[in-house]
Amino acid sequence: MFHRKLLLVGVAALVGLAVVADSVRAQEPAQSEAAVATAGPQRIELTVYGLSCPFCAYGLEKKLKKVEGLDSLHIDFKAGQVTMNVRDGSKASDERIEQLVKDAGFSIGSEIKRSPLPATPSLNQGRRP
Amino acid sequence: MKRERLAVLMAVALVAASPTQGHTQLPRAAVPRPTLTTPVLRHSPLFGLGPQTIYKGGWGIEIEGEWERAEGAVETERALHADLHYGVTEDLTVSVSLPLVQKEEAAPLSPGVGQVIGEATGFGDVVVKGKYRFWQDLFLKGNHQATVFGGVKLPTGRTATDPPLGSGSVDFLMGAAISRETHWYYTWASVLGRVNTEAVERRKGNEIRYDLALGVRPYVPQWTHPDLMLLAELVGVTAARSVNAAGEEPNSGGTVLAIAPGFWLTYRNWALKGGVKLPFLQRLNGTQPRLDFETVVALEYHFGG
Repeated sequence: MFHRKLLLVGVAALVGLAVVADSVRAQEPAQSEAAVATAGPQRIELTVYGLSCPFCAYGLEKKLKKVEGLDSLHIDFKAGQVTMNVRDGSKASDERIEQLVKDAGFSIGSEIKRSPLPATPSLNQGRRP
Repeated sequence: MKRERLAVLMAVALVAASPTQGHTQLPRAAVPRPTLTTPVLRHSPLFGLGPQTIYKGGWGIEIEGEWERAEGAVETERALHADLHYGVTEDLTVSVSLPLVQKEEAAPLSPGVGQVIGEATGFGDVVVKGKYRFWQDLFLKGNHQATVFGGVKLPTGRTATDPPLGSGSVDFLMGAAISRETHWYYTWASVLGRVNTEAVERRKGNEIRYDLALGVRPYVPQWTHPDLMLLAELVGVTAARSVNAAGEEPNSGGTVLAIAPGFWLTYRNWALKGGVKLPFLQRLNGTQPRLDFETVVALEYHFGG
């Protein structure tokens, strides 16, 4: 009987955890509606601090795949560099990218660089699997 | 999504197909053995605590098998843990650990020979754990991290069996870990304590574990390539004497120091980890079986977020 109660407490704790997790997610800053859409496809480059193993890079990959209008993503683990190509009209703001990097447990170590791309993206390496 | 479901099914299958052959259980008042479920989560040392947490919203499933042998196989013990981790934030990870245990208890007849006197199989004590990273210093190609750890072991394992599958007590875990990680090497230091409460007229002695570890990466791979790290750990466990109605138990508690070589092999969101702990100093109170070795193999999968 005592064990059943404990199991019930455990289940209740897990449900509570799920609720907390959902509320934390709900507080995630959404893409600002005021974010300006990019004019034409862009290449976004940034240096990420804290990357110490490829296994860690998976979390970063999961987060950066949430970038609105992402066309391709490449993480140069050896250099600590991330390169993303975004489509025309993407509203991926610097703040949004910074937040996603933070959620993965890292930080941005340099200014986010943006450069225009030709109409057809040419970055094939690290294409979304 | 299909891959995630497959991983969950694999985890369940692994638990269901856990080793069923007999093994012997240490006398109940024995050495400070791995009675403590430590999370191997992410790139932590295998026998100690690491400060790493999972990314926000990320899930991790880990299946960990442990096997230890003492006194020339007169006593051996096996356990399989299924751990589920969740990243509430990038700095806070919570985990639930469910062990599947099969125990046999043997009475030593002569050196190297024992006679089985009891056997039991089933789920052991569930452990609910949390890790909070309170400090992080990030730099290009590396980081420093520090984490506090807390957990509660619930007495969900049956105690009416012989030998008992659970401890019968609510026990508390607390610890701290710090690390430096770079592309070429990692270093860790951790301390982990366990405060036991009374169970069936007996209170097991409190324990403290300490661990220093070094990890070396022979080559630095790219993001999507397999990654190998070689580990060397210095592990210590010190336990106080257990107490029963008659007072302190003379054949309980002591200190074990060991070295532990190991490895991680990771590929994308999969990790395979393994190591062996080899004692070089055992100062045990009274008469207790001496640990020959302990091995750990773990498979971890991350998803979600």
